[in-house]
Amino acid sequence: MDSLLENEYRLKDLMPLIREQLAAGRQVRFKPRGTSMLPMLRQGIDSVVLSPLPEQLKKYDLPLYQRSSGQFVLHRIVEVGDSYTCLGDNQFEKEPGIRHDQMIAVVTAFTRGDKRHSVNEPGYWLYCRVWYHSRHIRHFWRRGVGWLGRHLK
Amino acid sequence: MKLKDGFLLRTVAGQTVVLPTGDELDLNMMITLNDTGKFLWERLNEDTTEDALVQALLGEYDVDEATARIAVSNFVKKLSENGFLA
Repeated sequence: MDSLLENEYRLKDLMPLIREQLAAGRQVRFKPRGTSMLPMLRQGIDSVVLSPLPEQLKKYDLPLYQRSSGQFVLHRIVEVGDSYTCLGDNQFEKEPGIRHDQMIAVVTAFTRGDKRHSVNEPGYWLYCRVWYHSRHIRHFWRRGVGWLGRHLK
Repeated sequence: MKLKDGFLLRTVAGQTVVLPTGDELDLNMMITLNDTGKFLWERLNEDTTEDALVQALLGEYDVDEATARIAVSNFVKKLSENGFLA
């Protein structure tokens, strides 16, 4: 007869609660799952703080959005035009055509380990730009390491 | 004995959950309650005692007093450890 249980929920289960809080102008903190935002966000360790959506998102913002498939995604905006193009920090294939009405919230702070960071910090500003613009080198390096791993057995 | 103010009680995926509210809603602090937990939680919104909770449990569930007392004691202990009690 254990009266207290701790559980993990899928993000889609939590969306009504998240949307309710955002609509009330409140922030919501949670630990995102997956590896697509490495090295910034480590699954099960780091948290993000979501804030209500501003009227306009800009390049390098990190929004939570919903794909047409229904999947919820937290990826960085890397191009802004009539729609947004997004890319996870640990990905190399851009996702174009994300409409503003698919956007739900934007990350305004995050916690790495025990330390909380604002997205307005100079270090984060630099990380976003250096990481994005080094993606071709990182991709080449990753493929090279993979090739060596396959051929040097 | 009573719960502190500032908790949200909600249903998520058919489960009852409670979250402390502050400047931001921290989903990492979310705790799921089973039926018994929800029953006791709702009674702790008013000032009460462990004995009263045991009696309430005996009146609602088909359970013997020793089991109910252990359940209430464990529940209250966990709430206290997590800083949920005023």
